[in-house]
Amino acid sequence: MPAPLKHSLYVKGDAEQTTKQEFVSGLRGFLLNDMAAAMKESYIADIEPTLTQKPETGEEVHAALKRTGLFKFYSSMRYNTQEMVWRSALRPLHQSMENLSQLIDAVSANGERSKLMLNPNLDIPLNVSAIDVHLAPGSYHREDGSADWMGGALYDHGLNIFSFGMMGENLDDIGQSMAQYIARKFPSFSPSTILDLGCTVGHNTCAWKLTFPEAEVTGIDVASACLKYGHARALDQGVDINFKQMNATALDFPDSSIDVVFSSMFLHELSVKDIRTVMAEAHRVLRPGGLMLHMELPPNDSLSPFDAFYLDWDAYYNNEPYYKSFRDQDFTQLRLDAGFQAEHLIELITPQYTYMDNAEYSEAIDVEQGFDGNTGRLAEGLQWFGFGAWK
Amino acid sequence: MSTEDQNFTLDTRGKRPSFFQTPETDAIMTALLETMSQLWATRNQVRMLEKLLVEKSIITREELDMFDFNDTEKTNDNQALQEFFADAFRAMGASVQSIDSRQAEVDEAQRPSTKGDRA
Repeated sequence: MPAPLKHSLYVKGDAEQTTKQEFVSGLRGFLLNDMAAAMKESYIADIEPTLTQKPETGEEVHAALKRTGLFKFYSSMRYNTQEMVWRSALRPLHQSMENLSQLIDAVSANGERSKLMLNPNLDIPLNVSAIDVHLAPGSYHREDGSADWMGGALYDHGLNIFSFGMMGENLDDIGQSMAQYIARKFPSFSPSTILDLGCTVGHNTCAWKLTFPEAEVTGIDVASACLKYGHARALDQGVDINFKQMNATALDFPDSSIDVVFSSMFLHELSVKDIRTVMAEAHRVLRPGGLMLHMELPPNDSLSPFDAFYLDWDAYYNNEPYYKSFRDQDFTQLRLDAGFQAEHLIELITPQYTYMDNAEYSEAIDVEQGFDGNTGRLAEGLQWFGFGAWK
Repeated sequence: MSTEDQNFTLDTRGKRPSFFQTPETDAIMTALLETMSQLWATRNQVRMLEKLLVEKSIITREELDMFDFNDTEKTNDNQALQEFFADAFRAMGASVQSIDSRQAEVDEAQRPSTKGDRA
């Protein structure tokens, strides 16, 4: 169930709105755990044995399942709950627009203006503007009149309902887990500049600042609505980070000027061409000895055909058209093509840091983990996957 | 179909996927899930009101749990329940007709009779 976010920009709806949000969250939990497991069992026990040729890819599993009742009910309910995530978040936000605008202004006024750098001339790329990504009405850059932060507030509140309590109390478990993993595995690495690409509201950007408090941390995104909201959100939590409106395919940073280039759940929103550009840009701006690290969904070739199908669902039905083409890539080759050396590549799988105590987490990351059906998937036993390279 | 102000949208752009044999079934699924959501919210509001009544000593938990309608009320409730079932399940098991067949029948009825005036 979604707990209230731990910052003062969180808008709590009335009793009925809150219960509806809990319902949506609970239903997503049921679908992604129970119903998904039932669909997998049914596929293995009832469907696969009837096929003349055993599927070897996610597409083949998709084709075999498409006409089954379980797939139809699962998909219809997933799609509807995704819409309900945003709808149930939007109504309270809309009702609180004036108050939240005042609060964002007041909190932002307490920070340095230079910490939020917007670029009104930046073109919003088509992967954000042409569709409502994740079915979120208005996408990341949504502005409702004077509520020019709406896309950010919607993302923050929607993600909280979407993740049914599995992404940390301020939705920062990915950032915390990745940053803690690096800090613990590479204790001599002490970055002074950290860049988070496609940071949206900076929920994971904050985590890097908390882990490496001496570093200058910057989050970039194309959507000013997310950055305005994220800037106030970080200030409200007392986290001192920069937000810049910028496209990750054209970084406005000098060569060899950054120690960590990070992203989370970002690459899969890009075309393969843009992914290649982003990685080349990361290589350019990294200092020698710096780290590129992307938290992402696992590549299709590391998963069983059913698990590949399961993750690809979002490409077809959740307005994430590049989800599959990204995961179909050879992740090693992508990094080599960007200029990184084979011996400097890094891959990691980490448990959820914010759900464990310190000692337990340290112990857990000492055990090498492999991919399984729960890697990168919001369900019981969730682990995060990251890949990148040292320069 | 939005009832909110015109500049405020709850709807996602683009076409919705149709998972079932007909788009109408998809629409019924949407209505069903929204109804379930509303039912859950109403259930919780009733629970909340019950809890408040008990906490404010307006009524005790035992009184709530032991409360029983009288015989007349029970009879009326039972009648209402049967009517509710009849309303909700009226389409199940009813004889159906394809709209093509229905149109053909209506068209046939409107055609001038070959046996002379019908009036």
